[in-house]
Amino acid sequence: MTIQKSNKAHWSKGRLKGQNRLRLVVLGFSLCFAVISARLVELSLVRGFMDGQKGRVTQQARLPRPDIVDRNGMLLATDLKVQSMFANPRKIIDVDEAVELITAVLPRLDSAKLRKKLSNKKRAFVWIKREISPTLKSELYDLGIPGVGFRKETLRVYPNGKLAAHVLGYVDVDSRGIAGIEKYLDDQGAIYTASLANPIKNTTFSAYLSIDGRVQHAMADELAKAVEYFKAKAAAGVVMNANTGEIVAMVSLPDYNPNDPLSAQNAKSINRLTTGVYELGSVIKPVTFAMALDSGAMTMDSTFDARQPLAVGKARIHDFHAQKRVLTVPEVFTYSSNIGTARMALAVGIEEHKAFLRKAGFFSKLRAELPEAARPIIPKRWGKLTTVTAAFGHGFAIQPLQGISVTAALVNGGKLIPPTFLKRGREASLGLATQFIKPETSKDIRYLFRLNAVKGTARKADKLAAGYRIGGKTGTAEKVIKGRYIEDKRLNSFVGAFPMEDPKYVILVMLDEPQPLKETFGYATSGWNAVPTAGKVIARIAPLLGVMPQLSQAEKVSAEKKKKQVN
Amino acid sequence: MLKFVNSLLVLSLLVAAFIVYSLEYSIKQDERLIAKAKRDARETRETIKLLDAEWSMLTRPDRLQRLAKQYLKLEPVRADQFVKPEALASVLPPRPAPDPTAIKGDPIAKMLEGLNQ
Repeated sequence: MTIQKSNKAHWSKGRLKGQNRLRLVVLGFSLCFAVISARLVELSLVRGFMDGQKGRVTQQARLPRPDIVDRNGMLLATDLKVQSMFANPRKIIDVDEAVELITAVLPRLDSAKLRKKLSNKKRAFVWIKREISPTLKSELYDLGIPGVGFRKETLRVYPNGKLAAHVLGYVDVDSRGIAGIEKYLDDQGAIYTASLANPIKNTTFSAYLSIDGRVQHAMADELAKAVEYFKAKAAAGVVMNANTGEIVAMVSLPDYNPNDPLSAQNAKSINRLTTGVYELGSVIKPVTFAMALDSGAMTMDSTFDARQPLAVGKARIHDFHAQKRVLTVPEVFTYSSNIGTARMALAVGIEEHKAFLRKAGFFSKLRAELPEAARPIIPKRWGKLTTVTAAFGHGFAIQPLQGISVTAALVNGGKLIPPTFLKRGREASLGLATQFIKPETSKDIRYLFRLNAVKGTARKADKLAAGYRIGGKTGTAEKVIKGRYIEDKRLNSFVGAFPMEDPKYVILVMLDEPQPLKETFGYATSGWNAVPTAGKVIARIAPLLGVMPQLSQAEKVSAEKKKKQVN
Repeated sequence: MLKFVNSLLVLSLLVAAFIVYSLEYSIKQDERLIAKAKRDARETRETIKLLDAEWSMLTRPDRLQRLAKQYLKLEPVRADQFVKPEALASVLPPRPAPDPTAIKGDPIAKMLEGLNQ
């Protein structure tokens, strides 16, 4: 109404006809501009401050693969940027000259193949050589060959070479994990990998393994010496934190170099601790002891008749160190009596025995972070004879890693903790633990372990690692080849823990087919090779792991003597 | 009046255009600098990674063991070489008793003199 009124007023004053229309247009435009400016201010100032850097993430390239470091931060795997050389054959003018120049710098390149590649004018892209060092790249670049270019690529490098190769695994040429932790980071562990990423800075934090590089090396070094000395086919060893389930060292020889994935293809270099399953033999006996003690079927004062071989159906169970008398429980342990252990299992009952082994996890595939995990081999029909042989570790094959994690539960107060290859705190481990046996049973097992090191088959280890209060059980298992036990092909092992009064670490050492030597008086049982090897390993790693030695008076005297001999 | 306003507008337009141009120019310069700094940072980071890897390769345990064997007379620590702090007194050699004849005159006065100098 007001506009019409004013319009009338203007009309009356006789102004130009279009002036009011012009004003309307100006008003309209100003309104438009006001809206635009307001929107601009809102977008650039208000939102810009509120959202921060949110909008940028989508533009980022693929996140880098995390570095892998050991528990102390020692670098085990990292990404390096390298150059790869490619060519566009259509743009190459003189193939012969190009081939000559390139092979002069890269003499290992096959010149005939290269000529064929570069002569193929149908293709516009061929790789000439991938992953070359910066110095070589600048040399090749200076040749100035037309049609040749470089592309930056990521190369996964394992600066420690063979160290912890079986844990780390390796990647393919496109940086995809093929084995070990590397594969875990891509597959099941993808959530863990993502938690390491920092997308704003386009970086990732390192993945911390539970492995201690120094302990790993000490184990590998001693095992390599043992393989050479005892002319064994292979060896393997694990050190595990008894209270957290962290694998501190895991060695399997022969190993491979992850920088050269082809060397991992050799069937001999499989990881014997998780990829292979074995009849572990006598080192499983403590599980039977724990079961019998825990169920109340026997006490530490019980006795077992080992005068005669035990007849089960057609089979007869003999003792290796036959005593031919009634043995007490500690004697059954230190003499490693098959008869006594079998009687223990029978005293508990066949179904109960089976249930206990299932509770220990022996019937299912143990899978920590490593994707290479084998399924145990369990007899389909479980009868009396199966229980008798399973009592001393025969007739069923498991991953050695399963054996050691159950042993940890036997000595750490009865808590079965799933093993891990990633760094884990004590609280987190307790959350995952299940009470496997009673703490009192664990105490008895600790006593038996220590007794076996002081008086039994593990004496040599106790001598070599004097002061670290070790304890353990030996195992000499005849190997099964084509369904038959072969007498002179043995898998020798030692499973132990230290310090025995409150075990911090459990250790497993395995030697595959060690040979009898003159120095071992023709013996090739575990006490002569696996045990001293374990002793040497413990003497080396205990100081690294912060276990304080306590020497008894006798051990102090013998150390004093040795010192004088050296001087 | 209108002429004055118009010329003022034109002038302000010119000034604004100049300011915008110079701002854009300096921003481009800054962007170049930022890009260069980012590139440098990335290259430096890559170099750091390379050196880290090299350091790790040079300090890998088997190499150190070989070198230590070759050049040092050190051995792995034996169990009898560990001593608890409480037991240190029995292991350390006894402290030599102070010999009053070694310093003639008043030893404390001498120390004070030493301080004054």
